[in-house]
Amino acid sequence: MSGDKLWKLFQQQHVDDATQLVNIESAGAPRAGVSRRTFIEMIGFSAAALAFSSCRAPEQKIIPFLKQPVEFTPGVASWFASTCGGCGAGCGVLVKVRDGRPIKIEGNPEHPLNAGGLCAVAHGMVFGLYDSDRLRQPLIASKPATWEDVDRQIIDILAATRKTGEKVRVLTGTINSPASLETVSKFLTQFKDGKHVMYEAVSAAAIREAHSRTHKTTSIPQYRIDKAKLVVSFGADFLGTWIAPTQHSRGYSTARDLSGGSREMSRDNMSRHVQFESLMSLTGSNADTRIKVSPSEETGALLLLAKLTASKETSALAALDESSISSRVREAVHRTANELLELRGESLVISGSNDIDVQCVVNVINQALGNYGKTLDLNAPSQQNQGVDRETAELVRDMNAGEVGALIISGVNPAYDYYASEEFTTALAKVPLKISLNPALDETSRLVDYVCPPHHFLEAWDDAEPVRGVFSLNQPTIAPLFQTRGYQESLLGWTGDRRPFYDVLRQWWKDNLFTRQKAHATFDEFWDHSLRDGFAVVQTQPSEQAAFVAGALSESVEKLKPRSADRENKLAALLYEKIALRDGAHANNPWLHELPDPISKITWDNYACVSPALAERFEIEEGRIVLISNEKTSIELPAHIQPGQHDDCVAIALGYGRTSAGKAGDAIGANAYPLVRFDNGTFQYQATGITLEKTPARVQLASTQLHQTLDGRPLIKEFTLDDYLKEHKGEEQSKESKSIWKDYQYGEHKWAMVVDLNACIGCSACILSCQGENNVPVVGKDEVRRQREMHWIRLDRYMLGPDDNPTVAYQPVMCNQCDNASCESVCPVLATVHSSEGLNMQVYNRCVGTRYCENNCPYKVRRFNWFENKHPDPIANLALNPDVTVRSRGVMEKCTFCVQRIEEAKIHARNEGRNIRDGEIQTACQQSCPTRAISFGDLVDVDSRVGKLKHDERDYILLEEVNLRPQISYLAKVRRSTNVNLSDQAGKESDDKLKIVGRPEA
Amino acid sequence: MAVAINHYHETPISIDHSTVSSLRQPLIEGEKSYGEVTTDICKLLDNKPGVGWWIAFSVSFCLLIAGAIATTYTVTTGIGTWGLNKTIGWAFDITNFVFWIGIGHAGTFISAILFLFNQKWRTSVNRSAEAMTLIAVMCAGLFPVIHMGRPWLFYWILPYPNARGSLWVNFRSPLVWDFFAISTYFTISLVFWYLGLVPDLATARDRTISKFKRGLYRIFSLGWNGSNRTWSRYETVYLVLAALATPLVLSVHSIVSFDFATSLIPGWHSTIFPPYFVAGAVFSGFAMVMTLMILVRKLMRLEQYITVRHLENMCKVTLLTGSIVTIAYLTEIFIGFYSGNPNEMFVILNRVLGPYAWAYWTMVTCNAFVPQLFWFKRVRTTVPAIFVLSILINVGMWFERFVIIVTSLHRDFLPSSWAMYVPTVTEVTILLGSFGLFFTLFLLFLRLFPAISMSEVKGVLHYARR
Repeated sequence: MSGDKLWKLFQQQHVDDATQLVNIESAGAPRAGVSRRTFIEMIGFSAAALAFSSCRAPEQKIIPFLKQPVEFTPGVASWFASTCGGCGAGCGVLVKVRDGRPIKIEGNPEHPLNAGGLCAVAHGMVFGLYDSDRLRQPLIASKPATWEDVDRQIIDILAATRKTGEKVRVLTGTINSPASLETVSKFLTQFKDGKHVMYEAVSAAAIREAHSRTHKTTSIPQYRIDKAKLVVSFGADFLGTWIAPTQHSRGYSTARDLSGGSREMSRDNMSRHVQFESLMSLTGSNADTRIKVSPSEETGALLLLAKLTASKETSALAALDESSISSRVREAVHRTANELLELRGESLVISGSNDIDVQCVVNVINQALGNYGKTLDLNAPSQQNQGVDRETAELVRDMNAGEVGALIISGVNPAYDYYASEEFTTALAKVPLKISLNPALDETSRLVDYVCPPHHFLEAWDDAEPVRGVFSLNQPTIAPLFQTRGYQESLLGWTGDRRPFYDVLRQWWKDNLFTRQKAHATFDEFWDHSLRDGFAVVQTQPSEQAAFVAGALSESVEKLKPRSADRENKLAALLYEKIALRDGAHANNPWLHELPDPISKITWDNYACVSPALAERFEIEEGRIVLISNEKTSIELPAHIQPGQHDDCVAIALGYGRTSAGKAGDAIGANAYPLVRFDNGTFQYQATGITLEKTPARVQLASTQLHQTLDGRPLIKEFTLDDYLKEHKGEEQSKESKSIWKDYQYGEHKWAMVVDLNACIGCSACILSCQGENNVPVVGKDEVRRQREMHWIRLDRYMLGPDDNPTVAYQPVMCNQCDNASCESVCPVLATVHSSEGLNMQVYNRCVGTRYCENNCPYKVRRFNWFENKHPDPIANLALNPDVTVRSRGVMEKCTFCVQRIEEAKIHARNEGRNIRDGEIQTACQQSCPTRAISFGDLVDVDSRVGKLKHDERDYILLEEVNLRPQISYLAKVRRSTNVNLSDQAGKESDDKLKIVGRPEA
Repeated sequence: MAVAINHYHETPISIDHSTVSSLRQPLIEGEKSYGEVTTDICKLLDNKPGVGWWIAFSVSFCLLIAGAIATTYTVTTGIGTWGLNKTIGWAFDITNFVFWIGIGHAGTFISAILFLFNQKWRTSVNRSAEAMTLIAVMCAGLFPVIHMGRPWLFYWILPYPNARGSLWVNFRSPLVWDFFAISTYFTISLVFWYLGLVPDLATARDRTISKFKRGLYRIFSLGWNGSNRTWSRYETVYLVLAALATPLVLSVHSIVSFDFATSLIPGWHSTIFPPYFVAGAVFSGFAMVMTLMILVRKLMRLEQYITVRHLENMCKVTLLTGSIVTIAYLTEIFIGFYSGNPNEMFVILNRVLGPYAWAYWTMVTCNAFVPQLFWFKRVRTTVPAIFVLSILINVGMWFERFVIIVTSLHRDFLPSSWAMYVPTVTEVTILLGSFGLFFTLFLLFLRLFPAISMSEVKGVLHYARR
């Protein structure tokens, strides 16, 4: 290289960095201008400048609020009262908003319906908000469009429709929001023949229609489970999925609470629950007495019960032939009838059937027992499931006849879940104007001309009147993520009313509610107060107690009689909802898919439940694909052998087999809606005369629990109420430490938990509450199959006793935070250590992942990150809780007792210069438990509730013999007068232990 | 076989055949002279290896490569590539670890304990056995590292001064004890082995024609000159080291067994584990030495040095330790029921009759029944029979660790968490890869170092000679 060339470079170019100077040097000494000394100075200066500039931390611009909004502190969560939009039940919720993002939904403790409890679906709704498969703008013919274009075109077409006078129909799910209903009717009044049809895929229309026959009021009564001393349910899964499960669960646990009252109180107060059912439901698994009946026997048993309790109401029952009912069931019905007659006005008979005749008979029984006005409230009826099956069917008929000019579908997906979806699809094609107001491009939205995506309920203003007189407000907690618009605003806009729905809502409340209340002088005050509370209870005029009309009853009984007598060995398909996925509307939610079903413990699938005897008859094993068909349709599903189910039925969950739900929800399971029948004016979720065929294929179901029995181990303590009262003198237990080692000394706090197994019904809401709070990853079907689900709290479910009618026991298990923690001693790197407050802490960034702690944990509550859980969806990541670390690959994790909540409460208390109040800290699982099964608190505080419960006579420690001294203890379950004797069972099970040992799992 | 045997130009010292004792059998057959011993052993280093060596090396190296690929896959992707789950946190990984540590027992046992007991027959096998020990411990050491979720942080289990405040390791954790036990054992074994090599390295130094090799041997033979003073100091140090190594033979596997014994899982929580593990380790180690020695004497034509008599002696040790292991099995079953602890009883029943009963019975067959065949002299002296049985014993000992780890974990306290373990291809490949590593290194050892301790063999050359 010649020096000349470089010299030229030096002259021509701007000397602005050190690189060139270095080049020059490497080429030899500069010839002129720069002396050697200067040159070295320049080098030194440049090198220093470069080095210093690289020392700086990367620049991040944090822009503070110019004007900080009132009551807003970055990093501190705000809570907003709202109403859950997950289903029609209208539970009050509190939405936790961190830095402008809703990240958690919890029950509103003051709400009159759910009183702080929430179900699993509600917890999943946060994920639903951040679902990136939601539509981001309106569509015209499946192509993205602007709202202006959509509105212009729709208004033009609607104007034409108005001229022709064709039928205009708005098809929605349950809408119990009075302001929205007013909007819909206002929209419809501009047409000559406009009608609002409410459709529910899983409907309770028969109850409404039956009441219109027997009580001349078309409504579903509010079931006051909390006031009933005896609940007799015929296949109604009222704790899991039926009408308002959270509200029912709350009432159920109130009526069965043993943790508060004295012993003598509990004998009188603890309610009793009898369940007649064919499949094994969550409710049935909790019953004091569960009587397994075939689907036809269920009708027979109901008729017999009616005969025994209500014969004076109608003569139609007198001639009932009891012989068609097996003696076992007959005896059970007689016993139940006697108990019911003793508890007139304090009992409740319900049926999960959607058959009007069945519901008429139920009404007669309740009427005869004097339960109306006491355990059934027709004055404040439920408006939680408003679907009218008959009208939906009529609408499809009209559409098929070409009479419907415009159809606006909102919040329902009949192309997927209508019983005859193909008929609906062909009928829809004949409607000239089809508009969908659904949030995603689902099966129905794919078939329409315009899709106008609405807000998620967390982005929208709305209200609800789930039970007459209880008005619940729904407020937005985030600005709409996408270009969506409230469905009410769409409808209003098409009438030319450009008001935001917020104004409409306020106006309605001002006109209708403000005038009916006296507590607040100005409307603004009333509104602010209601908004803060999340609800307003406004007394409605009590309508007169509806009179009972027995007239149509004999017809119903005559219709039912042959059905009950049908005792041939015919298989029936029973269609049910699972607690997480329900009717399938939220099928794109991976949290809900991965929540194990409390009965089967299976995730990510639906399946054909068959009884062990039926499985044996057809030589079906777990996971064998079976073909279930009737004359109408056939579906293929893996079989699941379900102890406790009747041999005459196959139970199949609805809500699966979506084809256009989104990336998480497509092609999971099979769609069972085609098996639904429309009969006698309502949808029937029972298909008789089906055939079952075995296929050669077999799959592995993704179950989280492979062993179903206790094998005689004393892990769950359960008494009958009589034994409990006999054996326990109500003395406080004294638990002295007998260790030769010194116990841990706790200073300020010792956090502890008590789980009341008597209250726990297995609803699994805690699992999703924890998942949302603690950023627990979803791992997918294959990983669950490999037994690698990550849930920090799990619900152990054991089947006790004989396979044909087992007793079911639930036990939530999470990290027990042991004093003598076996995980702490074995970790080589001190990644899991004991805190001064009794917590067993996992230090994620110290963990090297030896899994020794997991092996040595007898409760097996630790969860390992087998892979890097990628978080590729930036929208879904908005749901992450910033207070909790997202764990990386190769790290162990587990329940922390929601340590972030403990710390938050400590900071609050310190700022206010006080001690933490008992009950101030609620763990995520505890907060949402509809039955208040979980208590959490400080054992140093001697008056704490948890401290008192630790001395309860039912208190016991799981695996106490291992002496880990856990901070969690359990309160034994108490059933009323069941024949369950666990010690007998233990003996029996140990006899066939060898058989159980040899049985391969999975 | 086309193994070329090069006869050096040295004239063998003629030996009078009548010098062989009629009462006792010599340890080294063929009535070798000192020179012949040197020639026989050193030609293994000087000559080109034969076809047999190349075949063995190629197979081993392929396995090693496959194992390296599987290990890389695990480290880059995650432990999820294995068949473990929420209930079973260890399976193949720690099974392999304990297995290899066990193999690593025989070497030091032969060199140190048999040396102290003045067992002269050990001289033919001790060098290879010690090399086997070192290589096996290296294989073992691999597993605790790669079984970690974040193996790049493995050094966190070492107590080193760090900048994390007072953050130290957890001295209560048996995994930390393992680290100390194994590293100590490895160090002592390495020093002991190397010390024994020094006189032989000097011999090699003096013989080799290659300048490069001579340079290396010169450095590593530490200026050995064969003087009386050198020999005297050498033997003193050797004795001291043997005495130091002896307790380590017992301690290392005792401490490995603490991984299980100090935990609370039924089937692990057992005080019998330390002696049981030590006996098992010596058992499996000797079996592995037999397998290797049979291969070496065949492959390297060392039948006259590693005689049937050596093998027979090792068979006897195997029979003894195998019987100890059998008693341990029986004791475990007895204590399981005698304890009255339902969890313990269940573990025993589950092992014997449960879904992994096939593994249990493989273990019992190979470890309890198979060595009993060594009661028969015909079996002890039939080389093919010893070869097959020694392999069976090692299969059995691998399964012993698998049974202890997996059958205890898969069904412990709460039936709700019970699960099954099925290994993945990755795990099997890593296991095969560890065998690849073992044999690759061992075959290289045969080529690079005198496989039989010349100096010690010369010391016993006159045994049973008049």
